[in-house]
Parts: sequence; C-alpha cells; structure tokens
Amino acid sequence: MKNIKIHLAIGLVCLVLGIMVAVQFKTVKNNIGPVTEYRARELASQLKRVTTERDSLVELKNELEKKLRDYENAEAEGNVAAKFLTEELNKARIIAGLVDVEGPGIIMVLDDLKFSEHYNYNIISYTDLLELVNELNAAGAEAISINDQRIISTTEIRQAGLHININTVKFAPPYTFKAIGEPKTLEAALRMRDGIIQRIENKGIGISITQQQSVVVKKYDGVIEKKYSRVVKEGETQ
Amino acid sequence: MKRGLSTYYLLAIALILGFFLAIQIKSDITSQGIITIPKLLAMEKDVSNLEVEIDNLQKSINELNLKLKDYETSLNESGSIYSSMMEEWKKIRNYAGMEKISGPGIIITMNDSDKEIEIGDNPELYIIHDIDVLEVINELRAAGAEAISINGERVLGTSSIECGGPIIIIDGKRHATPFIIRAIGDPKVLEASILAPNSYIDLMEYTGIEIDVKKVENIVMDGYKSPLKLKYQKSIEEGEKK
Repeated sequence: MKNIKIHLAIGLVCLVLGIMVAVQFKTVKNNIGPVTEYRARELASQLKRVTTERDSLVELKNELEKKLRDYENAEAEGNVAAKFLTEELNKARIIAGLVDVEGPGIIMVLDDLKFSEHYNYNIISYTDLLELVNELNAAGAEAISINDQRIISTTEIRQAGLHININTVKFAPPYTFKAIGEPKTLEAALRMRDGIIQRIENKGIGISITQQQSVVVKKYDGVIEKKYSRVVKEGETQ
Repeated sequence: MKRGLSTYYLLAIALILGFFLAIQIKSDITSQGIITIPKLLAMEKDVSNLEVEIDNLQKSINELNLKLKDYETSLNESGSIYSSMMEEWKKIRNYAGMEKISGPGIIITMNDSDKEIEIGDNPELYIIHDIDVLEVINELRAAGAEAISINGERVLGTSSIECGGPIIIIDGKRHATPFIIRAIGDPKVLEASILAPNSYIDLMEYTGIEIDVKKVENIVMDGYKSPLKLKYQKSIEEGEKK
C-alpha cells in the first residue's frame, strides 16, 4: 500500500516535470534568435520616434496641400475660366488618387485568423487580393484601398514571404478593403455563386462584407515618378 | 534502506523540477509585457514601413513646396496663377493616366496556344485567362512600369480585365486576341523581371501559350479614354477629415 503511494507520488512528479520540460522547450523554440528585452525596448522606442516623425510630416503635407488649394480657390473666385479649371484639377486629383475620397460602398475584411502567424504559411495569397480588386473594378468600384493603401495605376500587390507588399508597403493579415461604388452591386458581384468569395472562403479564410453609406478611401501617399514617360504634345508627330 | 533510496530519488527529482521551475519563471519574466517573436517581427515591419512612408512624405513635401513657390511667384508677377494651375492640371492629368505619353519600354504579345490538345489534356491550360493578364500586369507594375496599356486601352488602378475565350474585355470594351500589352519604363528591368525564371510568363510558356516579349525604344500610348468613374466618390476637403 505504501509502495503504491510512493509510486503514485513519483509518477505525479514525473508528469509535472515532463510538462514543464515540454513547455520549456516550446518557449525556447519560439524565442530563437537574438530576442532580448533590450532589442524589444529599442524597437519600441524606434517605432515611437518614426511614428511621431511620420505624423508631423503628414500634418505638414496636409497643410501645404490646403495652402495650394486656397490659392486655387482664390483664383477661382469671380473668374469663370479659373473656376472651371479648379473643378477639372480636382477631378484629375480624384482620378489620380491624390485626395481622400468619400462615398457609399463596402468594407471587406479578409482574416486568416492568425494562421500565417502560427504555421508560417499563407492561406491568403496575393492573387486573392489581385482578383478581388479586379472583381470590384468590374463591378464599378470608383476607388479602392487595401489597408489604406490606395490602388492606383502603378500599384503592385506582391508576395514577399509571409507579407504582401502593396505600394511597396509590407502587410500581414487581416486585409481590409474599402471600395466606393454602388454597395449592393459591389457585394453581389463578389458573392456571385461559385464566385471569388466562395473560392476564398473554401480555403478557410474568414471574410466579412458590410455595405456602408459612407466609406472613406485614403489618398495615395507614395510618390508618383515619371522618369521614362513624357507627355506627347498635341499636334506632335511621332 | 529501500525506503531511503526512494527518498533520494524523490529529492533528485524535486531538485531537477525546482531547477526547471526556476528557468521557467525566469524566461517568463523575460517575456513580460508579452513580447513574442511575432510581435517583435510586426514591430520591425512597422518601423520599416514607416521609414518608407517618411521618405515618400519628404519627397511629396518638396514637390508641394516647389509648386507653392511657383504659385507665389506667378501671383506676384502677374497677379494670377492661372497658367501655373494649367501646368499643375496637366501634370496631375498625366499622373492620372489621362494624357497621351511616349517613352521606352516593352511590348508583350500573348496568343492562345495552337498546340494540338491531346485526349486527357485540360484545354483550360491552353487559353489565356483574366488572371494570366492580371498577373503579367502586376509583375510589370512591380518592375516599375510607369504606364501600361492592353490592346491600346490604358490600364488604371480602377481598370478591370475580363477574358472570355478569344476576347478580352477591358473596362467594358471588347478586344480580340492576340493580347498586346505595352509598358513604359526601363526596358531592361521590365524585360528581365517579366522573363525571370519562375516568373508568371515563364510558367505560362510551359503550357504552350505563345508569348513574345520585345524591348522598344519608343512606345506611344494614348491616355485613358473610358468614362471617368466619378458618380459616387467625392473628394474630402482637408480639415473636415477625421
């Protein structure tokens, strides 16, 4: 009887010990690499610094854009031609994706429920995003952003390891689409039977779509470079 | 004696257990504030993203400053900024893809495969699909193409590409095969990235889809001609935002 008790006690201790070792190994495995508290603290302060810098630059940029518009609006006053030009200029800015725009539309979130984080494997691939953008465009979307990156004519959507680069900015899931257009049409196009949403959902990706009366799509915040192309002047022969 | 031995065993196990416990607790302290590897990587990603953003912001601020100076000078000199606005309008129109442009680049011609389809083959592999065209366009964009057209239709961020067998519908307009994609940019870079091993075109060629890529010194590309999508979206004036 006594023997059994001792054996039970030892068995219990061994069990606890085994669990401890297992947990320990798991922790060590996850912590591989030069991860120290120091590194984390350093990163946190760096993150804080660049965030403040970004915020102040955004403010400055908005201020300058407002100044520019003030000049244009002042010119437009009492001058029909200038008023017309101002309107055309604003239209061109909307089409180029250089201003924040607002209108009815949908917000769609694609979430892999931390799958990539846990298994180091992407179930949301860049082609899904590419096809969704194309599908939305075909359904008449007027402006689209993914994680606030405005889709313009030069926007690439590329796989980069576990990340997807959009406008050269790295993203990990979830991906939030904002699209302006007729909300019902946009959602219906995506939800078509055997359509893209069904295909994506079958991969185990969570998708939610909400129709909104007002969606704000942020402007493109990269730099548009025209190094190789030049405008052909009217009447110019090539 | 027998009992003494098991006591020693117990002691040894307790010691080891204690040791592990200590390590465990210590390593828990290290990750206090829940700093996990994924979190750290996410932070690294955020920092590098912000650095790119700051770089971009500085460039746009420089550009805006130049434009403001331009407005101020013309206002001082002639009392009007009309001509400067006209210039700005043309520049933005060019950014928006609405101007006719020219420049060096590459021309890609894609045709459905004319290989005999053998029994058991999937005929789907021998024709070009929307996704094929999308992938090629996407690779061109990633390689820094400044402007792209398909069969003469300028491709914007809001353009849609739908294929149905021998036709391709770009922004609602039908075009027949072959699909001719023109891209303006650095011809060498564009060609290299589009023909790189494992690039999309490289993979497509296995199925016999005919693809021809050539570098061109001068491509002339029309501006976007379809109706502008301006029915639902309105620009937000600064200040009323957020």
